[in-house]
Amino acid sequence: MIKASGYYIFLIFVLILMTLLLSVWSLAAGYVDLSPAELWNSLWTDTEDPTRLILLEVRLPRMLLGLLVGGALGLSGAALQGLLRNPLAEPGLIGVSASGSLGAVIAIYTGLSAQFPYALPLLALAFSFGAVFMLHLLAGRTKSILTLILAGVALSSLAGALTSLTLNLSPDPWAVLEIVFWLMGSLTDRSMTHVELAAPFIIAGYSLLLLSGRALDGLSLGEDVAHSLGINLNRTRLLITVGTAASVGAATAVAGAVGFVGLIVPHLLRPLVGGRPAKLLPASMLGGACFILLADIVVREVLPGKDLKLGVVTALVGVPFFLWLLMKSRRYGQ
Amino acid sequence: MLKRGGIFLFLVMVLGGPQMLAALPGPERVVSMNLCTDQLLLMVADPNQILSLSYLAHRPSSAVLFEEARNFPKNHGLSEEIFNLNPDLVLAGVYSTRYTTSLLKRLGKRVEVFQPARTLDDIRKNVLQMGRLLMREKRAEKIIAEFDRNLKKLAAFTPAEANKQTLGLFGPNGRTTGAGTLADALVRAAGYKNLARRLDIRGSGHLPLEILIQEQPDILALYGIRGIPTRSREILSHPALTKSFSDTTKLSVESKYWICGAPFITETIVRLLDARRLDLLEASQ
Repeated sequence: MIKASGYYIFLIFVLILMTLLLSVWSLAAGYVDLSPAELWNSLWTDTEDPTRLILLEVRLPRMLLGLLVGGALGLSGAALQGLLRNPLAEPGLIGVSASGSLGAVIAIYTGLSAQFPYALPLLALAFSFGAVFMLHLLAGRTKSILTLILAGVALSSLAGALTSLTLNLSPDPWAVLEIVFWLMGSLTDRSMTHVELAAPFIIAGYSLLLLSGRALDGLSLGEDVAHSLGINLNRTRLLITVGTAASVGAATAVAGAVGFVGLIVPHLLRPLVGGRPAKLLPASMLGGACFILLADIVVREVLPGKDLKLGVVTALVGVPFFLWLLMKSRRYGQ
Repeated sequence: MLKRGGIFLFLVMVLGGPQMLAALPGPERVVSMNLCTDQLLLMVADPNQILSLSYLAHRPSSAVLFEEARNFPKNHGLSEEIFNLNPDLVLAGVYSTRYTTSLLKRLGKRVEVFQPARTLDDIRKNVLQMGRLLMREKRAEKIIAEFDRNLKKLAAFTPAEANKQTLGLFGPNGRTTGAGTLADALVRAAGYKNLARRLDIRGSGHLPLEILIQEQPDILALYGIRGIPTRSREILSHPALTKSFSDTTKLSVESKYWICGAPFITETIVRLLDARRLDLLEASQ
């Protein structure tokens, strides 16, 4: 036991180190070649210095949002998988992100967010909440992967279609071009304003989700055992539903719907934490942050100037992984 | 001017009867399905020749001549809709739905396609082409003469090569335009160097915010800033832009003044020149 927890502390330490390294790399990566020394020195120059502006107003918000969004997706993926006891529960696959996007699109294109900026994260949160709630109704009582995926496909398609419809109906010629952003996600050209809008909700979501760890541990032994351990299942459901809605909703409101993070990260880390949900949650949060930071570095370094969408990179890694999982779960039955 | 012409012709029609109308040379039922041919048509045609213009021509955000355009019914560039209008001439741009134009041709309609203007000379060519099609060459020549007079007046403000400032064009989604575009021709006609050219951007391209800040052009010209809030537009009010360009080095010229190559784009050049004068004023203080 002591050895296991020593190992766990080591794992968390490595993940934190990786997150820090990727954060620094994210600040150094960009369209303008700037050496670490130049970036460091710019911190002590006057406020109008271009290098300083690039670092603090363009790259820093991008890095912070990468951290926050990745953490939200990884953590909520791990929590949903624990709650629904279903390996394919992931905010992107089951329509939570797509619904958040729809909420954000409605907030922006009706002009609501121009009047009241927090309408953007709040509406995205409300729509994500609706999606998690619907999933409980449609697939909450069954462990069947098929039911969950079908319900998720239905929700994603509906939310995606309504997003496209909203943007198509907009009289603005630019709106239609944005469909791909809302469905694939991107951190390009975000500012500190977006960090300020999303961070409070994402962090609140983190705390709710992390609180559910012990209950998920109990739940992994079955509902009856969980009951006998004195775990309040309704409270756990509420924690995870609100936590996912808050973190994924706010993340989607500023970055669009990025898929597969919540699927890949918990699956990669689960063997390393001995399958314990309470341990998987913080590890997935850090792992998700690493994954998004890395994907966003790939976006900028591999095809600079093409403004590749984040969801393209995560899907290129995620789809083969998803298919492999599906094959494996079919082989072992459900 | 056009309006007055319209009223005059209306009186002639009423007083002179149908014989007068029939005496007009050239096509009499012209339908345009492209924003730029709409506006050229409005400038060159006799109002009685125009049957319908594209819906974009009615929008203040996309058409310079929207007020004049609103005197005519709009179409949405759909083949059925246009066929039913029974036009004797259909005007389209290269980017108009190819399917629609080829279908209309197969149905026996006369369709004339205009190339988008990429230089100031293209504008003259397009005005002349419009004049020929409508059999109003005189009117077209008059417009070109006035256009050239305006350009000549503006050319007086062009500084020597060594004193030319750099201007960065920046629009929604971080778009910019470089060599081979009308916007580039206008920037250079106003006596600036286009930042996009220095960055080897041809046609329309993506200009990352970082590079724009690093390059620090003397003047930043934003387009597409007006309109409903969208994600694409958010970048135009990005804090990094507000901090690196003061109000005197930043100007906004609405998109509609960049899109269509028509003689009214001398207005765009005037606006770009204005920015420099403001800048010079500040430098002399």
